[in-house]
Amino acid sequence: MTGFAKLGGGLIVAAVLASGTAAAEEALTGLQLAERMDAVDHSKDSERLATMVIERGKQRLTRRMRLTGMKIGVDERSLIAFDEPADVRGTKYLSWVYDDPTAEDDLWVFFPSENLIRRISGGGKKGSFMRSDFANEDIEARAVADDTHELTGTATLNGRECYLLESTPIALKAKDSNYARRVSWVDKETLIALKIEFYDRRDRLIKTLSQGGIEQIDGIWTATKLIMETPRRGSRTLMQYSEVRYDQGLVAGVFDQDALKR
Amino acid sequence: MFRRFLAAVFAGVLSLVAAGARSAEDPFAFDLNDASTTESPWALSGSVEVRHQSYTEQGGELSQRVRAVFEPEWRHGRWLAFMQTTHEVDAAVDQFRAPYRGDFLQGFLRYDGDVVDVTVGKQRINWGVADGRATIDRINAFDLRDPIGNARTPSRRPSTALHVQTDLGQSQLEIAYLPFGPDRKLPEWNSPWEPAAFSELRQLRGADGCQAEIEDSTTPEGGVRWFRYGRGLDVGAAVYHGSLAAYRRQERVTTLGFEPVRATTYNLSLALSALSSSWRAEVAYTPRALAPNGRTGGLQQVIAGWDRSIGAGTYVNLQFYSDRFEAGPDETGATFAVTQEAFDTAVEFGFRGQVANRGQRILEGYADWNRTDRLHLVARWVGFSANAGTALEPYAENDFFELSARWAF
Repeated sequence: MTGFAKLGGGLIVAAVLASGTAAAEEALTGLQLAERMDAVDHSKDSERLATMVIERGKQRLTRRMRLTGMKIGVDERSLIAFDEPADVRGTKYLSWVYDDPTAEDDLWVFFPSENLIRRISGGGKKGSFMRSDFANEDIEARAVADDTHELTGTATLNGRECYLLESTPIALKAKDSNYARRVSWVDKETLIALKIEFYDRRDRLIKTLSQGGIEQIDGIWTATKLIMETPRRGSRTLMQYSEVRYDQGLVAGVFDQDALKR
Repeated sequence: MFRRFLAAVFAGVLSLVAAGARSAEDPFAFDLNDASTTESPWALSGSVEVRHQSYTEQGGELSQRVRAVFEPEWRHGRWLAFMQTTHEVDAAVDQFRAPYRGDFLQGFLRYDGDVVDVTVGKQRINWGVADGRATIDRINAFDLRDPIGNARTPSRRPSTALHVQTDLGQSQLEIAYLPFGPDRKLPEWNSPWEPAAFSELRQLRGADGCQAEIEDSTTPEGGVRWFRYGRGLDVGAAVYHGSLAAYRRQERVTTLGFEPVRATTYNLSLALSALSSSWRAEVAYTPRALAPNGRTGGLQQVIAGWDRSIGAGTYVNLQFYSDRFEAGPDETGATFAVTQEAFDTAVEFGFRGQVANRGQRILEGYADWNRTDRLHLVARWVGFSANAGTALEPYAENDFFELSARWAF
């Protein structure tokens, strides 16, 4: 598990997009839609349990983790503590994710077997997250400014009216990404991306993310079930959130390195 | 009336079929939450490992070991109690020790307070930021009985200590006190990892009435470390007084032997993130260190390293080091690792090792297969080379190939 990217923040906020008012369709641009999607998560902090099951051939790998996140100004801090599998139990990742695309994120990992806190680089965003179909970059808190956004039209998905949003990494971020573009089906009512298709530089579809189990928790629309599929590998990863809580009044000290050993 | 009844039944059947079809198509009709999971303050984890090591040059078996590790843990509020014990049987070591060996590796009680965290017992305390080598980690002594963790990282043992850590707001202060010194374990007589000087001394025992011994320090020791984690940069400073990983030859009136050297070390360290990489550096000064030629004098140490994850699953780590002895020959070198994930990240393979002056080299090629989350298979080859009189010389004929399987619970 070397080379972790901005973990946690994305797991916490990527599926959490509040509804608010319906967007004004006629005058909406891609950037405005992306900003509204980003702005509707009005929680200051959040906690949740995540269970992840990787289905790969006959294999079924299970991961359980506790996710905690907090916004500090425009930046985000997150903590992931693993409970399963057994050989990573107690391992924790702390990330300080900056909104400024030119700033390098700060990442630390705590290895309980060595009682060691270690700064790690963010160069591994393309790598797999815990051997799953999610890449580290898929679960990071992605800033709106990391991509250019184009509203390409509307479509219906599973009976829901959606915007079609195409996002392309800016040059500064493109080198650290597996994807040349992402196409999102954004629910017009909740502003949750119900489906995201990920394309590589040869414009081949490499992965599809579907989000469901959508419910309003503490006034925030939350997708509690995620499915990431990689057709070429014949594998998929299911993710389910439980015990989701927002605005618990967490203090910044929860995201200090001292907290990693607790 | 009958037609209305038939129509109602037909409509009902249709709606049931439609509902069934919707349910079958609903990709989110899964529940991953295990209802049987209960919150208990107790947890038991560990592993069982089978390891086979064969000499690749001289032939024969270096190790045929079965080892069980038990790690019971208890958490309650701010309290944590943890223990780690190992039990092993090695069929290839009966030339120099009994096949069974039990080890109490860790056992501590920790209180996590608002202002101060206190840990008492046998524990690992990791100071320093560099990989492979450490200038200030004197708390976790080298395990000289089975010294190769991997080709760039030695095996270390936890020590009995009182560890106090306090949060100073933007930084942290740690104090470590070892009432019995580090838990050093010396290699057994005739073990493949025994230094030549120890072997010669042990052969003198009983010969011509000579008393020969290797002393093991149990004198209290400790240190203080300050560390600040921050945006883009972590910095630290530490001072430690205690045993060095070096033994001084002593010739007294009635005794000939080795005794550990005690000294104070001052350390500065930093780790930073830049250019999608981590950069690490340590500098240290020990005024009265033991040089390889047996003389005492100042020691200046520098470690500078770089590591980075590249693309999907490639990781590179490179660290340069220099030990400048005022009273003896310097030692300079590097540690390195290049690893690659493959087969949907189920396999990690690569090479790692260290090179140093005077012909000292350790190289390891390995493949590590996570067959499942619990079953872990490893194949590796480790080779050594060194000139006469160097620290690695005793290992020069210990090249080995290893196959191991570990099941975690």
